[in-house]
Amino acid sequence: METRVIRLVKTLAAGAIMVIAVVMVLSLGRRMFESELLALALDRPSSVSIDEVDMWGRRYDGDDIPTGAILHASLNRRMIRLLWPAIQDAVPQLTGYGRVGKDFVSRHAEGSGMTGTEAIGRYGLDEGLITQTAIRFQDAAEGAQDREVTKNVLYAGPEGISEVPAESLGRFGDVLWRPSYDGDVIGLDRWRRAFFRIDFEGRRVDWGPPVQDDSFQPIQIGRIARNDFALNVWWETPSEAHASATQKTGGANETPSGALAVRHHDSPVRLQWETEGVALVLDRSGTIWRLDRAALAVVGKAGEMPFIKPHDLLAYDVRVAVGEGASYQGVVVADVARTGCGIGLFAYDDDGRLLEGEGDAMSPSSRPGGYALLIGKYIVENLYPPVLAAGSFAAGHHCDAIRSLHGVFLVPNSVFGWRGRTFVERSSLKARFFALLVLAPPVGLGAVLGWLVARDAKQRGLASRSRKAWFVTTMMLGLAGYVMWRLVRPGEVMVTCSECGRLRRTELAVCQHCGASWQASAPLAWRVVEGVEMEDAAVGQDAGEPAAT
Amino acid sequence: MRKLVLMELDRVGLVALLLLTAVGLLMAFAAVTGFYYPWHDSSRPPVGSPEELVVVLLVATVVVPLISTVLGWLQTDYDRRWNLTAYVSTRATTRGRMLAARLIVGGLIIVASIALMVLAVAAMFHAFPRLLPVDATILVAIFVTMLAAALPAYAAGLVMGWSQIGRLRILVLLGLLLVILLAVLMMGSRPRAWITLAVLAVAMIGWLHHRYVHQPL
Repeated sequence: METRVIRLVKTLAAGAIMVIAVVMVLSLGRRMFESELLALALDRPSSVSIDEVDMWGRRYDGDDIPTGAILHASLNRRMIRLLWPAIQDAVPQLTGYGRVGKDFVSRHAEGSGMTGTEAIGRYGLDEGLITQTAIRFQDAAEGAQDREVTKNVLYAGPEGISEVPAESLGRFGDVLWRPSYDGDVIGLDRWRRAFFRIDFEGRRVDWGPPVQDDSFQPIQIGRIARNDFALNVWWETPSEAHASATQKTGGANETPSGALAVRHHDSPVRLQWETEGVALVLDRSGTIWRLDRAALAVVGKAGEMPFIKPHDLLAYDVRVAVGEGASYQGVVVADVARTGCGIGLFAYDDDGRLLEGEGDAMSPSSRPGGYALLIGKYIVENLYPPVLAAGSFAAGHHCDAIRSLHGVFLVPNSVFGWRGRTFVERSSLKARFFALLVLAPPVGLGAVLGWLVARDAKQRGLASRSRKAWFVTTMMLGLAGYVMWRLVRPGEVMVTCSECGRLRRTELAVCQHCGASWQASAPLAWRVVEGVEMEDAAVGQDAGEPAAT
Repeated sequence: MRKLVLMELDRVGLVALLLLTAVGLLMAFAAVTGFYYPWHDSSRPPVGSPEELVVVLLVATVVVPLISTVLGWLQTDYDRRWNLTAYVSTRATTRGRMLAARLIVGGLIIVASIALMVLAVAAMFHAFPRLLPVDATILVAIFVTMLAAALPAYAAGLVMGWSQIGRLRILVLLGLLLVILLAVLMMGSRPRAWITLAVLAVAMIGWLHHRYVHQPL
């Protein structure tokens, strides 16, 4: 006989296995539909261009072509990688130097490959100190066996730089930092509320004035980008645009294959990630600020990520437009929306004013099969356990775009998350009510399955309390709850009840339907007899036997 | 308990050997291609974790759980065929202890195989040092994921071994393995994947305990 505890353990174990199994399979289905939708977005010419704009105040045509420069942004095929975290983790490891992130630079001092000297540096943050590890690597001379390797580590703190992690260097607080192209490190100490620059070569640490504005909450400094492999941003000068327009009809928006392409053959303007005099700082609100690298103070707005906050974007890439004499001309902001099917491109001048902006979003109707994929995704999402659907609805508003995309149990990127965001953003009661209606299909399905389980449980003789518990559990877990019941429900041996005629369980003292006991009722005082039986009775009567009544 | 453990160890020695051989071969491949060549036959400066090592570890993340399933299956299958539990039950022990001995042996073999890989990787980095210290975070994450995936896979093998092999059993087992690999694929080598896999392992062991304790002799 199973004890209560054993039954509970068995039920919980089956529940956990079923919920995980069902959610994993549904999640795989969701991801596949999402992959296909993204592939549709990538299959079309999905670039955004800003043309006919007197970009950054002047024309660079140099000939008689009366057009402005053209700025492009397009989705990159590699963005499919974003959907699969395991692949996203593995790919950086399999492409050269592994996970190097921001803190790695490689410089060839002289020569290269087998014959030269190579210096490799890595920056890191170690217990409040920013470190620079420089390795000098001398290849073996011809005929010699050993290579010569020298290593030098420098530690930088708020008070200075040393070869040992001395206490006198002080320690940085909560620090946001990034090495620049020139080897210096620019950062913000959030505790001290001031920017700093570390010059490892000159062995000095400079500080800027304290930041006064408390609402200023930087999240990125220097290179402003997120998953930038998902985007191509490039710039065509008028003559290039003219040439490509004449070479291929309608092919100006074609995506260049491979890595980011920045073309600038006949233009003094370059699109760069960084520039000499200015470092960019991204605020949590999406505003991009200009930091004077010499004064280490914010000198003005550079631009912004319009409409959408950075954490709601799947990818973004901010480029600095640098003109003649390394002059700052403005910034270009390209971003990809949360769903991955919308792209935006915005150009700002040197005062942070929006020059031009373009956006493009793929609607399912724009490609054949788009609606079918969307409906398939919707059906799969509605098979999710209602409790997780409700959680996704609630989490939709807070969740970061990348975490939403990688959600397995909670799926803020689903239709539930999308309506959840509507629920929070709209104040109208009607809009909120309609947003809530998105939960009706999974809850309805859960209720139907719960009713089926409760009915089956009654047939199997479960007590009223257990039946209610099973109804609620199945309603919360949906399909997973139903499969769980099928796994753990008690086995049954049924016989026909002599009282009500329905199937009753043998191990119960009373019928679960009518409450009759096993004791047979008193025989009836009369019964219906068939014609033949009546004749037999008549014969018996003739023979002197008592007639049946 | 000691005797029970030794008895289990005696029975699954062959599978343990298979697991260790697979691990050894993978490590040898990584050692030669990822560590030996960059220092001796390549112009590439040895920086960071070698790609070959990462590939080997990713392959091992699939291979180790698969062999763990076979290990679990064989342990239970052997018991079922030879009616071992019925025999051992005549001695002064309980089914709980028998199951514990089985789990200890299986768990130890899996942990030992992964520990061997960790030692091999550490030895490789020691013998062929990299120019810059390696960011060990991803390597540690892969090893933890491997262990987290191997344990529920092993438990799935143990659960499924109770019945005679048939199409349905194989399908259910493949389904469970698919769920485990999907958890890794869709959550990556990250803590939430480890937690999910750990919950799955505990649930399967709970289910197994229930089945084992209530198995008629």
